[in-house]
Amino acid sequence: MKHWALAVVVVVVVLLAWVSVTGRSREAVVVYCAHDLVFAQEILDDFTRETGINVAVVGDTEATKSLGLVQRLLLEKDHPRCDVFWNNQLLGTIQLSEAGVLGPYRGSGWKRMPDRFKDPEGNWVGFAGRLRVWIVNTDKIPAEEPGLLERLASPDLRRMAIAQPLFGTTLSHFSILWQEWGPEKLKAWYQSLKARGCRIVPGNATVKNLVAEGVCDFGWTDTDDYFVARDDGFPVQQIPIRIGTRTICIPNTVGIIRGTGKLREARALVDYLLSKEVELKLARSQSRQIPLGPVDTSELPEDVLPLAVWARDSFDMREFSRARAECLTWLKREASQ
Amino acid sequence: MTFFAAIGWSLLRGVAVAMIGTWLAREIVSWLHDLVDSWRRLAWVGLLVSCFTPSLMIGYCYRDTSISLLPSPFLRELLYAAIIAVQGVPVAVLLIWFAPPPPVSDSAVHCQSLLEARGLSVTQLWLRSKSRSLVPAAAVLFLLTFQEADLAALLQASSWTEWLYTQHAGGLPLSESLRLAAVPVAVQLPVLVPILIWILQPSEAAGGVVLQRPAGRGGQGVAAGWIAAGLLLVFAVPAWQLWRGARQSWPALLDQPGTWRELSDAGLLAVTSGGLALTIALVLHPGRTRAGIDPARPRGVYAGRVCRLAAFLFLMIPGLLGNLALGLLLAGIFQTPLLLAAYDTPVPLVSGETLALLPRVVILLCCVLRMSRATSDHMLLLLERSSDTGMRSRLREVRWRTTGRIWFGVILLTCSWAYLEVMLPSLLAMPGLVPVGLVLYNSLHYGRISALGAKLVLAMALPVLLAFCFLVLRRLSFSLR
Repeated sequence: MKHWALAVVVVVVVLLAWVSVTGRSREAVVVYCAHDLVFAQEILDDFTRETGINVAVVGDTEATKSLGLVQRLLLEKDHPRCDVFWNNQLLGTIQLSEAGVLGPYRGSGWKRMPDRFKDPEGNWVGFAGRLRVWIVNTDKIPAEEPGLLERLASPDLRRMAIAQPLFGTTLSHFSILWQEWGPEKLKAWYQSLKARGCRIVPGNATVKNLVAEGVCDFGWTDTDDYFVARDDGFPVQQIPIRIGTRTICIPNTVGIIRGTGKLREARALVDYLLSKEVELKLARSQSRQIPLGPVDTSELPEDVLPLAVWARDSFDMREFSRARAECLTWLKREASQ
Repeated sequence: MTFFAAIGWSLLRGVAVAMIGTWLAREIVSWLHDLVDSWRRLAWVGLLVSCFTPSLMIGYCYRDTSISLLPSPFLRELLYAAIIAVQGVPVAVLLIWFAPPPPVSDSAVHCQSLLEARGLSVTQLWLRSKSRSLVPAAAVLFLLTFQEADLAALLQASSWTEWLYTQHAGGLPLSESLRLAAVPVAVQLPVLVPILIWILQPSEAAGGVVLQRPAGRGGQGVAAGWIAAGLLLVFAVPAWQLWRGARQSWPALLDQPGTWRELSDAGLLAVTSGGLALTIALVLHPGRTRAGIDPARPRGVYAGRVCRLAAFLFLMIPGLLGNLALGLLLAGIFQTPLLLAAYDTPVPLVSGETLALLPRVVILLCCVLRMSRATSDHMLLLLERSSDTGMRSRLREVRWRTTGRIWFGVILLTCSWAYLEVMLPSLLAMPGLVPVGLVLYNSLHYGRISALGAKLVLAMALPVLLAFCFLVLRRLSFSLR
């Protein structure tokens, strides 16, 4: 009898705990977040602290960053679970906007950002960018752009690493190459890259690890991954990747999901993320994200100042939406062979 | 690599680990059989610690090593296969040790070979003797290797699970993922048969009686060496790495307010899924005759038994196909119009974890029920019926020592599997439910290893601490009586 009573008590307690967990999610703004949760969670916790609005975050793995969440949002279009999408890049967000997944909002955050980092209807807004860079192990080779370009053209690339171009910022990078070089040149170059032994690894963090640990001499990654290696004391340097004279600055983007049941809370979160304070927080974080809206440069960390200069030479990423779709189709076909 | 090439690699690896692992398991069982009780207990502990070391801890240690082996794919493959084998061989040992006695003993097989008796071939006799334990052991080793997903993703092994998971998370439609998953599922289905036969055998006492061949000196060396090497590879080295990393990252952990919520989510999931899996296993297991159930109770009409067996198999098979296939299947089911309302609740994840746990719990249950406890059961009966109050008051403590501790271990192990599960939450968790295993798994993929050590140590230490508190309280409550 005693055991049955104990079992009933346990079952009731567990059920109440689940009701509490489910309630937590029901009351919260649901954010699908492709940005590194290690950094994003702090920003979202600050938002909750300041506004009292709870946030439930759905993240992604590094290997499939942002592409996985974009696909998920497309699948859930008719029954959205998400209220706000925080993407760590732009092109996937544009795809969602074109598919009608995002709803318009032109709040204080939208007004703050330059035109080339926002949708005119307010379906998305860019903020806190990062650059595509060469990461170089300076114990192995010198960090000089002419030397790196020479190595890139050499017959042996076993000491070079790039992330799988099917996902993330590497996909954005390849989308730019698709448009700037033309599809046939890019396809031939990619086949040549693989034939010469270039390491194609799951993500930018893996590229960073390989170069930092000296398994590879150089590779392509993003500024936030570079700074993780540098802060950990590895002998690395970064050089911005240029296509012609332009650099590649990829902004985070945020958008409200069409049909959300928490519009007021979602708008509050969007304006919070697009604020000067959050851009400065992200600039001061380990990821050293580059503010895209107007900020007092004297408030920027020393590391971010040169990045902000390089970012001024960057492509307007809005021009590459169609190239991304075509490039992705080709890359998916490549991956399945 | 194409999907079918990845399946080929997984198949090759599965067959290799199954063959070598089964031979090793056989040597280990013979060696265990020859040991005295105290040394045998120690050997079992060494064996099972390797088996139950969480994949997160192993991944934390070897992820960077695996990445640095990128220029040497053979070495990387060897590392991955070695880890899988070290974790899988103890399960094969359990299956051989707790296999019910076959209808034909080794002696009979030997007599047949001496007499060259007609009517039955050596193969037929082998099928009725050793195969009853060795084939299920080989099958389970093959399954564990073939369907392994967590470490394959972390160590970037060439595996169909890594290929399919990456493609699915990268945007492959669910219908397409399920269609592709049907191929490895079809490969696994025939392999389930010997395992199910092993499970459905009556729960009579077993314990090494199948293999009466004593271990030779070579066999002893191999068995002892394997256990020691396995402990070093999957427990000692990762534990040392983890401790080193944790010491550097404790301050960062204190700045993360979400940690306690992640731990409580994981704990709740563990208690719920573990409790459900144990209950289903106890209610539906067809081979039960012990564990507090009165063997004198009527076994029920034939139709009832058939229904129970059908329900048992229906619930067992999805979990035997691997967590990735199970997760994809449930994601598809809960996105159909009928069940869409439940998609945003904990139901898909709890269902998935319960089904994933069920085969492991059933195997554990078989091992427990097949333990020979005739003497202790009889003693408990005598104590219960004793006219001496002092004797009757000892009943609780004796019951704890003979059966309670074993069941406590079973419950703890079951809940720990659900607690640190990573694949199913990544596919099925509702927004806002963030079990600590999922957070750690995602972070490991980022490669931010230095920030994870303290959180992983905390995640693993907390259940151990809770179990310790329970044991202390139990001891105190008994002393106060």
